[in-house]
Amino acid sequence: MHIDPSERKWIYVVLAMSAIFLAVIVYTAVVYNAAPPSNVETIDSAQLHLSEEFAEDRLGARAMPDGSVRVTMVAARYGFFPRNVTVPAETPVTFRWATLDVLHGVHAEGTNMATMIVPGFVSQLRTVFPKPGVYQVICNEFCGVGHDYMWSQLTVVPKAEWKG
Amino acid sequence: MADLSEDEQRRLMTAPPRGTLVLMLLLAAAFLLAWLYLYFGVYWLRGLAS
Repeated sequence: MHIDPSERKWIYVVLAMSAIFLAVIVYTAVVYNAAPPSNVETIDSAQLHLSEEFAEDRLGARAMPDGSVRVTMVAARYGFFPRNVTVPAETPVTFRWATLDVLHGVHAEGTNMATMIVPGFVSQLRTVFPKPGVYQVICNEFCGVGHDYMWSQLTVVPKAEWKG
Repeated sequence: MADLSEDEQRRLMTAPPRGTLVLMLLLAAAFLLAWLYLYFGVYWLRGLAS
């Protein structure tokens, strides 16, 4: 097959760029665990209010013995509960979500916190917020007529100011 | 082209398109820098999530 020399040069450039992108992604995935959240853990969505972890009085942020913070939330049409969550900056935070009804998505604007919340499963995501701020948490999977109004607020405060 | 001799026209037509190659390389470099900026300057600085 004949390939024009100019086209051949361009193919080399494209291959080199693709190799650089792939190398960066693979290196950071292996060394820094930069990978999409993955958690296979089942739960009965119809019994969340009776569960030990997702009962109403157990929701919210709490400090863990290892110095990290765990946030437990429930997604339901049309809101995330609790509505306001405060976590410390520069601290590992593990979010755990379950849905009461249908498929939802959760995304904190301006951060990398984003995942799907699938009925019957517990979604888990671990991240660190590098700087304080107030972030809107929105549903990014269409879940019904009130989808546009499904949101909550995440406040990231300096580590020294956080009271777990 | 009309003012050029046949030799000059042939030489021009067979010469490699250097200007085009330079433009392509500039475009590739800009694309590469933009990708690296989005990865390390935006995605990375927001804190890794896994």
